[in-house]
Amino acid sequence: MSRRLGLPVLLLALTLAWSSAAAWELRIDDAGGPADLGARVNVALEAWQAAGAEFDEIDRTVLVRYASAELLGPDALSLVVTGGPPGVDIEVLVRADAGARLNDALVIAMGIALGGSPGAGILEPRLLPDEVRTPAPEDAAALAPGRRLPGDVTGDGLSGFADLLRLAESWGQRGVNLPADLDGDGVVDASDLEILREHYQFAPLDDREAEPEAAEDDADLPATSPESGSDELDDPAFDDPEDDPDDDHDGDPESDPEEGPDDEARAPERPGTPAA
Amino acid sequence: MTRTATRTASRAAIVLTLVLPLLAPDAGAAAYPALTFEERLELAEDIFVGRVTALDAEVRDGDPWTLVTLQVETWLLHEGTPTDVGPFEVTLAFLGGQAPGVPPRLVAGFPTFELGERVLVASYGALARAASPLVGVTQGLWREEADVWRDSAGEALALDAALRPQLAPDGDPESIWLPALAAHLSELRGEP
Repeated sequence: MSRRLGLPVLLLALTLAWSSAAAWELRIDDAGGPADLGARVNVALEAWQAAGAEFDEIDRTVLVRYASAELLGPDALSLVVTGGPPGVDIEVLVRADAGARLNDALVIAMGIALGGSPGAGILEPRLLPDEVRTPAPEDAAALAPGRRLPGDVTGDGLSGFADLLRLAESWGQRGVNLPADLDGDGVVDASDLEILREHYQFAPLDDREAEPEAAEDDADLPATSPESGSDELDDPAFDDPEDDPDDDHDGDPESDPEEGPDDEARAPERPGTPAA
Repeated sequence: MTRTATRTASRAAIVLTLVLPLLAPDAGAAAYPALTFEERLELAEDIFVGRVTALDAEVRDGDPWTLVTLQVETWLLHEGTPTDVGPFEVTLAFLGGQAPGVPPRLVAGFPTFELGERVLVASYGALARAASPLVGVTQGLWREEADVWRDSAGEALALDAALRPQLAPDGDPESIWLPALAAHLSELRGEP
């Protein structure tokens, strides 16, 4: 695949990647369409930057390229796809003849590349006639890139039972930027569980022995229906004995109602086999 | 494995069992022009009510594609598929999914399907090679939820005051909108 990197975007990518331990890398391939693709992506990224989006916490490689009209079909201006060529985490496929509408499509695509939840707010896919998408500070604040540690699903900086619980709740989910999708392949599955297993942090033996008796009582869990399962999991008796017995402030509202809801991470789920 | 680790693993197995039936939602993403209901009807080559009977995957040019096979229950418009000997099945192919031998890929916002579910599909026809064969990428799909059929944006099939099909926040039952939609499509296509 040919690579003709737009200079502005290349400079921006280098600027963004310069001092951060996280590697945000942007690749532009404008083969097959207007040569200003890099500049357009740059405009979209600058719009997000102006709204306050931060890049230095993002560790992913994004490729933006033109796709054939046949693949995009009659309607799609852009598609955001997990994976791609080797080393690419997210591939943004754009329409070469999209005209001015491509700018709005790129704002949406870059918002997702920056960690946004697809479909929410400014990332709503349907573009109305004459609509212009400009990220606002609240849109930028809603991005949740976060440089999480391997195996850290909840974002609390640890890899423990709360993460296992969240991963289990998310099992089978498909999407982009799912917290439990630890390997970023778009699916919460055994490969994510394996990453969590590798980084699972068990508490020292002394801590376990010092746990309150109540934590020992949950070894034999009562049979529960799926409907009652989440309620059971809210029960303090389900608190992981590896957590600090005085505080399970793990950032996970599922295990601590006082920590507040996390609507994005707990979006309602639809049973089904993802088409894509 | 320590006692605690054993217990944790045991609990994890239970949790996994409890949540396995819950899978992903449809989530909008990508970008495409919003289409009105009339535009969707006019652009579609096929419109039908069908039931999902099979979910498969195949590899095309190194990418996984998901194949959704539907048993057609009612044809409302039939121009795009290569045969009209019914009843028969239609297979819709979507870019993305999991297929043997290639890494999984996922297109943000593409619909999910469940075996056995009934859907109303407005598509560009079985021969389309687009990443999504649905009209408007995702806009040509309505799902049955408690006798109301909604698209990915939550708009439901209903009838207006003149008894013509439309999209509205509150929907009408299939028994009401289906014949009205069939009649409306015949009118749109200039059929007697």
